[in-house]
Amino acid sequence: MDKFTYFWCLIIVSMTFFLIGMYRNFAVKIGYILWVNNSRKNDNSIGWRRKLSRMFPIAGRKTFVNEAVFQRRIMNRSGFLWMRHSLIFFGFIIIFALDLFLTFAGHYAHHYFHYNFFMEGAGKAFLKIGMELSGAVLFIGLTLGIFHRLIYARREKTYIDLKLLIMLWLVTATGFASEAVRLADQPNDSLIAFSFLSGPAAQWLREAIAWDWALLENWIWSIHATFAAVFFAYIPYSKFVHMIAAPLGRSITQDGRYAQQKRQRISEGLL
Amino acid sequence: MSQYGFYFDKEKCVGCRACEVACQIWNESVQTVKWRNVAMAVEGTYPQIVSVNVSLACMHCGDAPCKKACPRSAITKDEETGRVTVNQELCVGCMLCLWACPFGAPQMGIHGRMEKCTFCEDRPMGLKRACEEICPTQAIVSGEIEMLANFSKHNVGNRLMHDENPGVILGHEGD
Repeated sequence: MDKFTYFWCLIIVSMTFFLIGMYRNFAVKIGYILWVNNSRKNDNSIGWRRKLSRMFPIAGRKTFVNEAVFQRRIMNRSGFLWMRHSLIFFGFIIIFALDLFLTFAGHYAHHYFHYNFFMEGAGKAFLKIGMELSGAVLFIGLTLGIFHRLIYARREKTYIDLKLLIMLWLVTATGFASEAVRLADQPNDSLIAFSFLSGPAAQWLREAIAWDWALLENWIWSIHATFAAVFFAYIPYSKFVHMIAAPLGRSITQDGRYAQQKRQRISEGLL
Repeated sequence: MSQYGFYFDKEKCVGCRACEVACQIWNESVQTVKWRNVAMAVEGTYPQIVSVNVSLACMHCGDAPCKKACPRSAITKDEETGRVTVNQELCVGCMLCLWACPFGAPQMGIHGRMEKCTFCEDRPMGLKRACEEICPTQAIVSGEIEMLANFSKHNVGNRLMHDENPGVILGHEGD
């Protein structure tokens, strides 16, 4: 079976599990929260705008930036934890976005729209550098996370799930390995200079070991794709769900100020 | 299943916040933020002023919305006592429980996980809860919800008789 056929079969299965999980563990929960918040309001005099804002208190831009993007709460806990989490967060977001774009622009969209920019031009070089850099950032963050979890987490009372960290670490590590082996097989790739980590690794591999790199690349790429598919399928059923739920919940509850507002409304109602 | 809960009398509360302190002291080993909060509201200007103090913590709801809102099923309701607690190992700190809670009870702890009143989990059920024990005006009473409902009826009846001197005797069921 062609590796891309295998990939798309995996993606279909993985996305099916992902969507079922997202429906059960996220969409239903959000629907319930909106319904339960709305059902408590029997005040018809406040107008639909205020009603809507009470039911779905849309986060302010500043709160969203502080809580969802820069994760101020983690920074308040510890600079190291914040750095580790930010490396994972930004590394993952950027590599995911670039990889998604490269998959469609580099493999599929060019059949319908004729361009060279993202096929072998400067666009592809930019994507290569971006993915290499964000992958390295993610890899460093995950490695720090694993060491921190193994050495300090018990003492510091953090609740990090080691097996999830290792799973994402394997996805990243096999991604780098796959690119290095591909470049070992294709040493004349015109963009090899832009793979500033995988390129030197490929050169070292080629010089150190004599192997059928094309065959090995197929295998490692397939393993990487399998790990990635399992990771996505597992998101809604594991602590990874915080990637979607936490930015939303923390922004809407305004870092807890929402609780104070609720309590204040109750006391005002009892006046 | 028994359902334990709190009775709170806003007429008796003087806003001293002793309940907040007692809660923090008793649960010191597991609490990193205030689980009980006294909310105060004031209306009007002196001398026509009305104020109220409300001591609020988790109400351990019968049909807890926080439990239904949690994407990790980290919030559970105890079969024996009806108390609602957060499993810190499962919680991811997404704060959806706070969004769903009508009382703003779940709080984000310093470890990035949600915390809330555990109904003094490590106290035997016969004893008063820490907030109840310290309250100088007995504004907080804990117990089984049926007992609290009867207690409330007594209180309202007594208060009505005392304050308004109505031309009616209020009856109630039970002793």
